[in-house]
Order: sequence, then C-alpha cells, then structure tokens
Amino acid sequence: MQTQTIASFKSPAGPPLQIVKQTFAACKPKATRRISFIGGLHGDELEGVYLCAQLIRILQGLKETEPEAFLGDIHIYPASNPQSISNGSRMWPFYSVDINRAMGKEDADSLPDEFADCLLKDIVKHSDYAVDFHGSNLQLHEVPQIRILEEFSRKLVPLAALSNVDLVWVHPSAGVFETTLGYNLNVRKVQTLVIETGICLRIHQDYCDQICRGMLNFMQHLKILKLSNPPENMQTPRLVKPSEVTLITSNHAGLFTSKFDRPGIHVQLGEKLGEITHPLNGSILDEIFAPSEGFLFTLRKHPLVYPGAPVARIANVD
Amino acid sequence: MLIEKILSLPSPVGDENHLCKISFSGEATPEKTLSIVSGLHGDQLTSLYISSCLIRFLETIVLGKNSDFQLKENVQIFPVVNVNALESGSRHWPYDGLDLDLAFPGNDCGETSEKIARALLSHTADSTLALMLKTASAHYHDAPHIQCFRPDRSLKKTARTLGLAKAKELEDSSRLKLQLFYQWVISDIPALIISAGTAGEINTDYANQIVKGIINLMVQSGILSANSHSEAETTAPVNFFKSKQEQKIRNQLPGLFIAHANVGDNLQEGQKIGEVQDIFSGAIVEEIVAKQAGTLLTLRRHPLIYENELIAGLAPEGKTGIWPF
Repeated sequence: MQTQTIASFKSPAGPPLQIVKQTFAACKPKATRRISFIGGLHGDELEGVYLCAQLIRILQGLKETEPEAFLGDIHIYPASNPQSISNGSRMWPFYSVDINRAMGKEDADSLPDEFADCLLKDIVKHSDYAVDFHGSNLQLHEVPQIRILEEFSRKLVPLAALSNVDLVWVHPSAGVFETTLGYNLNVRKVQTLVIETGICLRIHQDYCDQICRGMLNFMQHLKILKLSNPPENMQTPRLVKPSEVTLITSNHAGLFTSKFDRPGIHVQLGEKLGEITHPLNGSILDEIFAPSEGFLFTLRKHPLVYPGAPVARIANVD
Repeated sequence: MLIEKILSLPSPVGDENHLCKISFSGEATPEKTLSIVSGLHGDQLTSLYISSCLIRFLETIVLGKNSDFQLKENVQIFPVVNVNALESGSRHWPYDGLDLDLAFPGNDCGETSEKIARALLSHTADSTLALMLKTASAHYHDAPHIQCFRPDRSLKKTARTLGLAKAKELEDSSRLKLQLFYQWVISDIPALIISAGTAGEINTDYANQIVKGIINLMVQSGILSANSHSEAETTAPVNFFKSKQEQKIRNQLPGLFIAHANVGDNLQEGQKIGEVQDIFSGAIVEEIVAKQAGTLLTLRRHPLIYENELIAGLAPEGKTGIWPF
C-alpha cells in the first residue's frame, strides 16, 4: 500500500490539514481499470470513514496472501474532509461550509473550496470508477442504498446492481446535486456511485460488512480484483423509481417516536409507523400510519420534527 | 403599512414564528413593485438594520409625516427571512444546518427551510425590481458594493443610482443557481445584490450610505417622487468589473493576520495590506501586499489563517474614480 498526501495546507497552530490517499497498485505495470473510494466528505458520517478503513484492512491482507489478485489500481481516500471528521461535524467547522456543496467551482475562494478542488481533480486524474460513501444525516436512518440521478442511470444502474445494497433509487436531478462530488465526477466521465447508509455519528457493523462485500464483488466484476474466493450470495437490490417511493412527512411540530428500531422491514398498508407527541402537555398530536404497503427504507431517528419533516420512506416494491 | 405573515413556522415548545412581509402601497394604481430582502442568513445584521431603516422611512411617508416624498409604487420588504437562525444567533438554523441561500427554488411541501424559500420566491415573483441585502461572512469584511449578473444597460443605469462605486459581475456557477438572486434573474426580474460589512455586527455608516442610495434608487425609478431631489445626486459613476478581474490576494504561511489597510482603501501596487504573525514565535513571517493597484473590496477579518487563504479582494481601478454621492 502506498500512502500519498494529495493536498496539504499548513495550519496556524497545529499539524497541517491533509487529504491522504491509500493506493493499492495493480500487480502488473498496466492496470486494467482504476477505482477510487471516498469516505468522510461529511465529517459526521462515520460509516463512510469506517467502510474505507475496513476496505484498507481487507486489501492489505489480500496484498500479502494474493498479490496477483490486484489487476487494477485501487485508491482510497478514507478521510476526505479531515477537519470536519476531527470535530464530528457535517460542515467544515471553521467556515461552516458543506464541502459536498462546493465541488466543481472554477474559482476557489476559501480553504474548503481549495480542498474540494484538490480532491475532485485527483480522483478524476486517477479513476475510471468511484464510490462515494455517505452515512445519512442526523435525522434519518437509511438502509444501505445507492442513489442515482436519472441522467446517469443507464450506466450506473448495472454497476449498482453489483454492490450488495438493499435498494437502488433512481431519482430526478435538481440544482443542488450539481455542487456534489458524485455529480461532478459523473459529468467528468468517472462513473460514480453514491452509497448512503445508516445514520451519522454511528457505525452499523452489519451494514458496513454488507457494503464491503458488495464492493469486493463490484471490483471482481470490473476485473479490478481477481479473487480466488469471491464473495458469494450477493443480494439483488430493489430498483425503485421516483413514482415508487412514498415519502411520509410530519404535519405537526413535536416529538416523533416509532416502535421500529431501524428501517429495512416490510410494512403493511395502514400499519402504524409512529406518533408525534406534544412536548409541553404530552398529548398525541398525530399517529402516523403507512399509506402504502412496501419496504420501509428510511426511518426518522431524530425525534424533533416540524411540519414537512420526513419521518419515513416506503418503496412500493417487494 | 401592512405587516403580513406569509408563512407560519410552528415550534414544538411555544408560539409559532412567522416569515413576515412589510408592504407599502403606492398611490393610485401602482404598476411597479420593488422587493427588498435581507436576513437570509441569521447573522447578516447590517442588512437587517438597513431594511428596518427603510421601513421606518417609508412609514413616515405613508403616515404623511414626511412631505419631501410621495410613494407612487409598491414596496415590499422582507427584513428577516431566516428567522430561526436569527433567533438562535447563528448564520444557519442549527436544526437543519442548511444554508438558506442555497435552498432555492424551495418546495412548499418540503421541510421548514424549503418552505421558507418557496414562500419568499413566490411572494417576490411579481417584482419589477428586486434588491438583495447581504454582508460578508464572519471571516471577511466587505466595502459596500453592488453585485450583479450579466447586467444590461437598464440594470446598470439602476445600479448607478445607488451611489456605490464598484459593481462586481458574478459568474455563472452551480452554487449561484441555488440562490434567490439567481431565481430572480432567470425570472427576468431586474435584480441587484448590495453587500456591505461583516456578519454579526451593525455598521451604521454603511447602513446610512446604503439607505440613502436605495432611497435615491426609488426616486430615480419612479417608486417615490421627491419634491426637492437635486439632479446632482441622482446618479454616480460605477465601475463594473468581472469577478475574474478581481485581484485575489492569498497568504503563503499560516498564522495570525493583522490588517494594515481598511476596506474601501485605494491601494497602490506594492502597498501593504497586512502581515502574518507566527503564533509561537511572534515573528512577522509574511507581509501581504497589493500586487496591482486597486480598491480593497474584501478584507480578511478573522485573524486565524491557514496556508493559502483568501486575504483580500481588490477591485480593479476603473475608468471612473470613487465619486462622492
């Protein structure tokens, strides 16, 4: 494994801020294909950081036991936003900037912009494929899933099917995506999957194990790896279109609680998903029932809700 | 004056908050509507103060306490958009951490910030002229200046009534497309941004200058009629320049930045802007100077700097100097 620092900025009172890249080079001079894995763009989404660490550990072991398995180049950026990760915050703390809304700017005006630019350019230069790992935000717990913009779906859906996730959600584009790493890589011809899993500031070992096996399967199919014992029993993800997703939102401000600990279950039409309690008098403001039968793939974990806040998503597919 | 609650923002533990629009109706049959928006970020207090001053000014007119002016057209002011952030003393609402000025066009069925964005956009959709009042972020300090996007002759003429010497023409970008200002632009609403000062404080000098400029804009665009408005005060030269022409000065070494110049200063080539002091030795490790002559439009305010940060932005010297308004 080769460790490289792709960006480094001296800090006023401590060590420099750096983006580190770990590379597992192909065993032959010419790599078949090149892939990059990115974790921690949002510093509180630790599942992505952990996923990268897990992959590094597995690949290091593989390098010792099966060095000939490496047909392509594998790059891993485990902590792509180091200051945010150090603080456990979504935003770059010093500037309160979301680095995943700063991608693709031609004229970098701030340190987060510079970081975003260095990361994007390095990935584009060294990758044919990329996987951007995200945990969910502070509010919603998500099953392992891949979200794909419609405009990239023709190429990405077949790749997503190899990734051992529970769900692949193809959705329409919106302006906000144009500032993200995933979008900017895809428009620069690096086929990029964005994986969303779990919830921020937590690590779900089972989700990470599932995705890690999926990534090994993914690389095996792309002929980046040639494993003697490739992972087996990969699941076929549910493929859902926007019309097949039911979003359930709160109609009240209050505290949302659910009998379910996590999503990833099949719910029946009319099944109770949770309720909203008035914090000042304890009354039940609303009971929330499933408006359709299907796979519950998103469930609110942050209890505080305002009107319009999402509490659950159901995929209306088996 | 009409105070209209255009969106209710319920709270789990108390009374609801509101997004408010303050409207002033012109005489007879108004054909124009000027929209003024401030407080998209909760820490932009100078812009909020400017809106408050304009509300007070317009109220004196409609109450007949100011005989120098008559209101001819409609003016609507949204002094505080991000009311939750303002009340929590922060730039963004801590609950969702969203930058409200990256939430447009919004969604009236979405979350709170998306609803605010949608409500604001729909209430300004019929504007014939729109002004966005902003300040720099807490790390920087802006000299009062105009920002615009591909201004045509008419918009440039409007900008000249504000009495501000510099106008930066913004470039198209993914981030710009998420902003209210851009939504106005693509809706063919003539729109300008006025940026001045820094977050978290009120600069009354800037505010007074901008209030005066906006009043002049209202007079020149026929929104107000003035009984005694001197022709000499009507327009001032503005140096329009492209974003790419802005001279961006960066430091090489990290440390504490100590400014030696002030925003608004006209600097000569080589003139000192400030210096960088090493925290552990106290030594001056770098001198920051202007590479070319220009007007100091943006200056670093937060002293703590990492390597290669933006320290200053200088507007190029224009054909016109800074004329007194």
